Amino acid sequence: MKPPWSKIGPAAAALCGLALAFVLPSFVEVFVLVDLTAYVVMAILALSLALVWGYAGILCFGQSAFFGIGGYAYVLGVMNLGESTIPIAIGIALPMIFAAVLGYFLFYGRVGDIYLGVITLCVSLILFNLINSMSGTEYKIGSVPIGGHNGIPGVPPINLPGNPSIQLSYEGTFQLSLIVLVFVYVSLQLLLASKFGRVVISIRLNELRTELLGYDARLHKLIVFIIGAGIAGIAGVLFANWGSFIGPTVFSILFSAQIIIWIMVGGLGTLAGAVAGAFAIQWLTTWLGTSKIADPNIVLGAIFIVFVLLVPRGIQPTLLNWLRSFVTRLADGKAEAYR
Amino acid sequence: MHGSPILRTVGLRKTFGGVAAVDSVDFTLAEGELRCVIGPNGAGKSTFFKLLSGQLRPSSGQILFRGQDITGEERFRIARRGVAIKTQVPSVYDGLPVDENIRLAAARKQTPAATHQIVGNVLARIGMTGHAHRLAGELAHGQRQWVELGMLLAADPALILLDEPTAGLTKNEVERMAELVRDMRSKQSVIVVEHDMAFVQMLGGTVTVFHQGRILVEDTMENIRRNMQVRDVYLGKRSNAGA
Repeated sequence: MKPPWSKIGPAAAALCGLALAFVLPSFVEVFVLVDLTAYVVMAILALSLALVWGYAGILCFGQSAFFGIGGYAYVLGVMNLGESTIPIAIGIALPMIFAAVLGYFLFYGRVGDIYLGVITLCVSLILFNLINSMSGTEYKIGSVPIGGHNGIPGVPPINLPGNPSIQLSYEGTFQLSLIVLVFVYVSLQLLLASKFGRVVISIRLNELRTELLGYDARLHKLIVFIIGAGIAGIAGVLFANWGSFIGPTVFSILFSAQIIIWIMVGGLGTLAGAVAGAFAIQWLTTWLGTSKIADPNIVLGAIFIVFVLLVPRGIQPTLLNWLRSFVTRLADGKAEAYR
Repeated sequence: MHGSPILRTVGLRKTFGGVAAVDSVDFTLAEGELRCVIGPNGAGKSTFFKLLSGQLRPSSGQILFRGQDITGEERFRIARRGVAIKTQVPSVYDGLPVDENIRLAAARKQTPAATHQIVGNVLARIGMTGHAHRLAGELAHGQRQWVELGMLLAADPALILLDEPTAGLTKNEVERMAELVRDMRSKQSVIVVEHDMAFVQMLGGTVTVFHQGRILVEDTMENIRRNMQVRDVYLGKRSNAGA
């Protein structure tokens, strides 16, 4: 059983996040907020993979597929309907439906781990090539051309439900994204502490034993897969809103790999670590991009290799362990002094 | 024993490539019976257990649980019917504490309050109350066997399959295990696969001898010990099984 103080950490993190959402816009420049918004959106995407891979043990190489489907569904919806509320719902629901169908075949077909990784990677690739090839003006949904490799620019900001003329400002976009991040984080903490969540974790640890206890592992994995897709969809919606743009690069292998790197760096099997990993790597790639010291992709690859070899558990667990042993040594030291 | 059997296999067969690991086995277990299954390595005992628990699909034949045909059912469905197995290599959650291991076993069909009670009771029964918060992976092999046994007890099944429960146990622990298994008879039917003949002796009951995927003989331990064929089979001599 986790010690009770382990609930304080997540609660504190959530409160900090909410506080930042309300306080930060008054203290920093708009362009900083815009940068931070991108990191926050990617952190939400990271949480989706943290759930699916870190806790359920499903190595999905195509989390970006759900992100992209969510983004495209939202964009096509909002530019056709002129109102953002229903498109947001579609942007969340469509990836979930897609995940339900794909997941059914993967989990009820008892596809092995490696094949699942390959299949999900291929899904991303197929979507990438599909959208990329739809450059002609004949490819359109409603009145909106899909745009192929050019993507779809000019996406209007999210508006107040029912009132398309009241739209989110840059500050508002930051606040909404951060609040969503906190909401997803808290929801996942609750989910993982629930009976369902603990069964999911047990499936990752020993699927055979969990099924021998009478739990249907296929159904549990499918449900987690669908939830993860929904979260990735939310991130896709927020991403399209942030950049006023969506393009097929969201389906690229490069992007899929980046999500995995964020998780590995932050800590596989953690939530806060996933967020931290996403922030850290995003910040690093942005900085490398502007300072032009090195090719960001090479650095990312190197970081990935270093972490897999030297810090396989990622930052959060390693830091926590170090902290724990430090505190223990302090306590032992005090005990020694009193002898 | 009166009444219909809890478990019956009819011509149960499992082949891997050209080899029949289990070869036309007709096995019957009465409700509340305690049976031991012995036989040399490779005789098909563990494969037999895997078929019963749904980990393997039979090549042919039938498995009937309380009269219902469960042949080819998903392993979690078979578990839900009340079949619980302690696998040959202990299958516990190494990354979770002992009490969480047992809680997962009980939680599926119990209320949280009942689960909590069951976990406490089971920990006491297997003598692991002091180790409740230790990670199962940090325990000695014998202790992990006890944890797995605890999980089975917590799941409250109708049929318990124990695959080499005494592996890694000290002499004292073997006696405790025998006591626990004999206790199970009041509520459950049990099949035990074992190599430890002293343990089999402690349990009493009928003994089924497996050899080359078939049942060689079924008898009391007394008679089995005097059976020349069984001795030959264990010593690796050619036997006229089936002749």
